[in-house]
Amino acid sequence: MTFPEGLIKKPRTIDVYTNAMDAARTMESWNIGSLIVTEEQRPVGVVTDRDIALTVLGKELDPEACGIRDCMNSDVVSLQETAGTSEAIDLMCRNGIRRLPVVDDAGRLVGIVASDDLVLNLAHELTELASVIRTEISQRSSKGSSIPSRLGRE
Amino acid sequence: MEVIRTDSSAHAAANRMNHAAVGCLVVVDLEDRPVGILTDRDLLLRGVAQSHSPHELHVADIMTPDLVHATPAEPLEELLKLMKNHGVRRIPLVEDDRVVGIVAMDDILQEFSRDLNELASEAPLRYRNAPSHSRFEHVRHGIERNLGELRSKLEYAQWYAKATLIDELNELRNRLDKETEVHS
Repeated sequence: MTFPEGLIKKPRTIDVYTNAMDAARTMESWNIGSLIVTEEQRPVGVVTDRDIALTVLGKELDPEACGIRDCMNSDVVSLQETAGTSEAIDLMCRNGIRRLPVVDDAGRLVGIVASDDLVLNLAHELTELASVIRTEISQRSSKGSSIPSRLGRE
Repeated sequence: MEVIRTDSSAHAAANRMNHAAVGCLVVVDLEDRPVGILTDRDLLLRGVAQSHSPHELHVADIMTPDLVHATPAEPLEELLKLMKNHGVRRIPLVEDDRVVGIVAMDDILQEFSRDLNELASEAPLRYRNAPSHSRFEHVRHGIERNLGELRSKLEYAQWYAKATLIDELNELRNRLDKETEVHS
């Protein structure tokens, strides 16, 4: 099984030698809450707005002197680009994460897949399910079922 | 629900969020009246991104004032509308100028899912004598399958995705509700 078109997005990244203030400003200008930290095109960490805020403020650090390496989570769980949605969901659930970096055979970052997009995809499936119910009801009422259906009169 | 005073330091706010494992604090003034909200995102944007010594800032400098709030009697549907209209995902509940609780979009979604799940499990009993029982079984299985998947994804979803899902769930719930009424 492979990904439906458009589910793998272009990743937002920063270099591992960036400082916390520049990373915060990058998040602000792109209006995003997490970045993949890369070193020579390979993902070496993931950092969220919360990670940076709580590390810098909690430890009273100078945000320009604090490197992103000190804020990031370096346990990167990546998805091979040949994997599908079920493997992505499985990895997200098992690791409690919402975004997965997608890597090629050589471990280079090629994209990102987010649970939000998977959820929206699911919402679309639910809409289709609602239309199944609608069809069921209209089929029954057109066959003159003895059971009156309010929805059949929509 | 975690509360912090306007005169507390940003450093104290960060530590409170960390230890309580929350992403938002309700801000109260010196008389304990709710006056704003402070999220971890506020700490980043108004603290780290803008100041060289952000730990010297105070909560009043970086909070979001003009608190969007509701009373504890507000129905869930109204709370959801407030969240969507103001682009927020948490609403503090205020009574007599005191904050008495907070409702997150996650809570509303869970409430809706629970209702829908109950309806789905009641369906075969209610439709036992209905002529198209097997069709409803099919629909019920579909819903249960989707709810199962849904539950595993919910906690990782952002608020706008949740808002979409809540609408879908509400729509499904209403349809099932009406059908259940008709058949019972």
